[in-house]
Amino acid sequence: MIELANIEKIYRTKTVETVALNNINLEVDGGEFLSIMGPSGCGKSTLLNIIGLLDEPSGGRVAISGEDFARFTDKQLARFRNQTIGFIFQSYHLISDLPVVDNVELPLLYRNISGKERRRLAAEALEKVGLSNRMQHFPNQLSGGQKQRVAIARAIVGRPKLILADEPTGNLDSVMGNEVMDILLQLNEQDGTTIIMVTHDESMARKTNRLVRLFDGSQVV
Amino acid sequence: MIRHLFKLMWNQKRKNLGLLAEVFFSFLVIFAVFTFLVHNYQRYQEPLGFSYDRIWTLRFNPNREKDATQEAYEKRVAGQLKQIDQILKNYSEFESYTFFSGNLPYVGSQHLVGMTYDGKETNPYVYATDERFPAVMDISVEQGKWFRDAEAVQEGITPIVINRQFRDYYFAEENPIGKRMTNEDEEATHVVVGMIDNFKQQGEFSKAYPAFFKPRREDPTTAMLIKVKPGTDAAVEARLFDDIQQITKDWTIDIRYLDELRRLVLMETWIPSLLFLIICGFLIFNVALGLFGVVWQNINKRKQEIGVRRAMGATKFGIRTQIIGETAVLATLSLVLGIFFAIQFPLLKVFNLPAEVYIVAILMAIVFIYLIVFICSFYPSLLAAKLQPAVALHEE
Amino acid sequence: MLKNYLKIAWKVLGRNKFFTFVSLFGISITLAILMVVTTFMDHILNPKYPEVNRDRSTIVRRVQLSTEDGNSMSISAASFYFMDRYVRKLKTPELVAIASNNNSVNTFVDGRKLSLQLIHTCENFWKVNEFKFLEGGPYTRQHIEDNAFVAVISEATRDAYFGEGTQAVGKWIEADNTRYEVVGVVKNVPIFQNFSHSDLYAPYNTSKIDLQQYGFTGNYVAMLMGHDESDIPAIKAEFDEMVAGIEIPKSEWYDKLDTYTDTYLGVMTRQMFRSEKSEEGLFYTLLFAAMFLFMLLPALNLVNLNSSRIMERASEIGVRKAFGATSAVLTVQFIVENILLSLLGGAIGLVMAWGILELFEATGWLKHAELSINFNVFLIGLLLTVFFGFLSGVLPALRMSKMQIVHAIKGDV
Repeated sequence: MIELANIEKIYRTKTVETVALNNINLEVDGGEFLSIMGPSGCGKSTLLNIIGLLDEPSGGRVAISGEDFARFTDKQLARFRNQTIGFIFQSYHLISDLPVVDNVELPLLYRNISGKERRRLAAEALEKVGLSNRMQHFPNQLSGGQKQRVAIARAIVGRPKLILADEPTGNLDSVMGNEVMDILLQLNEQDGTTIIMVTHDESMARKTNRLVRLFDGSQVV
Repeated sequence: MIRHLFKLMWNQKRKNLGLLAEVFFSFLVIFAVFTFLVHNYQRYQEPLGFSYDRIWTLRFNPNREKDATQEAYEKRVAGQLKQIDQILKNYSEFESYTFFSGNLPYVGSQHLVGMTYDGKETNPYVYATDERFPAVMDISVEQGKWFRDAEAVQEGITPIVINRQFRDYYFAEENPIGKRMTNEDEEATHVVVGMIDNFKQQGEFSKAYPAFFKPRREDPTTAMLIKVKPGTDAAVEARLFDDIQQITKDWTIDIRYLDELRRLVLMETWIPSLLFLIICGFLIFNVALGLFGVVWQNINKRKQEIGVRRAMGATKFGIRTQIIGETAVLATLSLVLGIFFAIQFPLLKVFNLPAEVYIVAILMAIVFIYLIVFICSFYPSLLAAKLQPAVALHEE
Repeated sequence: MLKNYLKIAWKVLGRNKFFTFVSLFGISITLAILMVVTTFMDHILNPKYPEVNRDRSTIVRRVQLSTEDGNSMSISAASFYFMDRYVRKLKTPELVAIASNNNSVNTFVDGRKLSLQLIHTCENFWKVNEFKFLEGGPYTRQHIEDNAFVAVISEATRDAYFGEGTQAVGKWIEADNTRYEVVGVVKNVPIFQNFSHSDLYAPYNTSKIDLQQYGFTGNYVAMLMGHDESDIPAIKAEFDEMVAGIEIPKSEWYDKLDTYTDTYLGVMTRQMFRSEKSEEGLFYTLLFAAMFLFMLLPALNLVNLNSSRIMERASEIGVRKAFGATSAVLTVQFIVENILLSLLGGAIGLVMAWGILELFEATGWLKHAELSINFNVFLIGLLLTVFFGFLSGVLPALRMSKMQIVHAIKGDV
């Protein structure tokens, strides 16, 4: 499903050149649950951004579902992200001024879907993460685990084939972390959603199908 | 999407209270400015109704105090005016001239008199003049004819020429010619013989008001209007001054040019208007800069949210419309309140301006506010769209 | 400590140049406009050349004649008869000066028309008002008793009539068909000096009206000068008593005479608000309300900008708080910053105000107006500036000082 070939990422400023990623080659099949591990600053988030089409590599080729993105316009990229990819972030990134249900609806806003249908899909997604009773709460009224579950609901509401999770359990204690992890595993097993997860946590990584280790921008395993 | 933005902005209303207040007050200021502009423009659009080129005005003060009785005074002045008339005939530099009451065009003085017709009563302006007046002021009679000096005094009947506003007030659509007006002494002594179009005595920015002209009679006329030929200069003026002084001895005489008087009257409108516009312009410009700064600062504060939206599939264009849309939504919240206050002006008939002036001003002010909002959020929206989602999401 | 505050403030101003520019722009123009308005008010209201004795003088400006039923009424300036017969006989004032309102008269010089303002006065006019004579001097009681046709002219009239800088005393000027011998030339009077600005001053005996004519309405104004400010109530009281004692002949159309004497501002506000009494309080209230409203938008703008700016500094504030800065200290720091910004804006505004006033004079709309910012206006400007800075700084400062440390450090506000 995903093919990364010779991916390089170099940050240049006037004086310094930093290599964030160096010759990464990776293939991920549909339905896989892959985790990426590595110490801080090893480039795992950069890699995830590149897979998520949020960042462009300095060199190499990214293909998802056979699409080559080199010639994609901003609009096409946005559409592709919207239809195919769901994102989960370490610090949730919920919009604090909107209630839970509106946060979950967010990806659907960028599709042509009626308000009623949006609400139905959002309710469905929230049910999956077990937060049906929190629809009208605001993010600051929720615990960290609940927030992350809202973020997962937001990621799956558009029924994406691929979910990218950037340290989804990084801000959570082990109980809440396990809850979140269970939901992700369930998504992977029941719906066949491909998941790529960046994590620090060995125990979490061990629960996934495959593990890739990065060190200083290079693939170790 | 619009619903989404409204919800977002409504929930942020406490944070944006300052901005809301600012747009609200700005709207009121802009509303005031446009009311002022629309009102004056509307007035200016109405024709003035007379010409002011090459016209001199003469004003006399015949010093009433010198005569023992009113009768003696009137007799003396009437004789002197007759002599002046004789002398002016000999001036080849003058195209025509006319005697006029003291309420000359572009002079602050107003003479009003109560007039009644068919139960309708008001106080139109009244001017006393003679048959040469339309020629001097280049006024054409729309209906009927101008009165002749010879027929001025006949069996206690006064022929009058009215303006269009007079007709509209008393007779509406009816033909005014031949109608008899009742004056304050409750005698139907005034007969309409002609009608002219506008006559805006106080100038371009004044309101066209009902008025009529009657033949000057014994009542001392205290002014004149003289149409001079092109190229007539101050030497002629000095000669005229001396000639009149020969006859009138101790009168105070004031000669002025009508176009100069007009310029002064217009200045009285222009200068305060200009100051008002400059001050309001500054206030609005100041607000616009501030709005720009606040929107810009907001982008910096909301990098992460923008990053999330981009990740969720928002296009660059989508982000831009969102930023501009949000500011527009904020403005709309203020506008609703502002319009509520502004609409009271036509409803309560404040300042007695026509309602359409206020309505047009409100509409223009709304467009103007949205325009400012658009301009002020255009550049910040560009910045927001340029944000790299990857960078925005990871900035802590 | 203050030095430290100032140092930080200076750094903050330099950090975001655009915000600093917007703030300074708003502050400076707002204050410039306020200073121009204050200067105008200063010139209109405060005693200035030549009406320097306004503080201890009252004015008689209006008489009102009416019938008992109130159907007929006539309001106008007072007659010479009334001034001469009644007002000049008052005992309390040190001096009573009477003068006519300005009359427009024409004169011709070398085929050129010259429009002049002419007022007729008594000899005391030159004592109540302190004119500066460039040459010659005022006319005296003797001139009036001799029925001399003499005149004092303004510098501008001299320059226009006799030629710039030429000696005029002893020469004759003809205006309104009357010839006057010039006895003095005075420095031009600004148009703001309501009762003393004119181009030509002549003794009342030269006026064309019959001075013995009975009647109360006319063209004259009186200035009643006390020994000092404390005389004013007594002057008013004597004036009212005198008016009450006037008997109106049955043959006249009116049966009531109303008139008053009041201070300059009193007369002005009575006319402005069509009131029966002096409305100084109302006048100043409205004036300050208008100024406050005018300041409201720029201040609101500044509050918004400042509130936004605080977010930029949230982490700095958090760190300061973490290391023990109290809310009060932070509030003071922020207000100091704002006042510094306002003072900077005020300085620019002062220069702008000066420029605007120069521009006003250059256009010549206001005859002989020598508009200058005096020390008092500057002081008011300074006060406004500090007030402005405080106004726009205190709200954001309070918000800032309430910020919770944890949130502040994270920049999550």
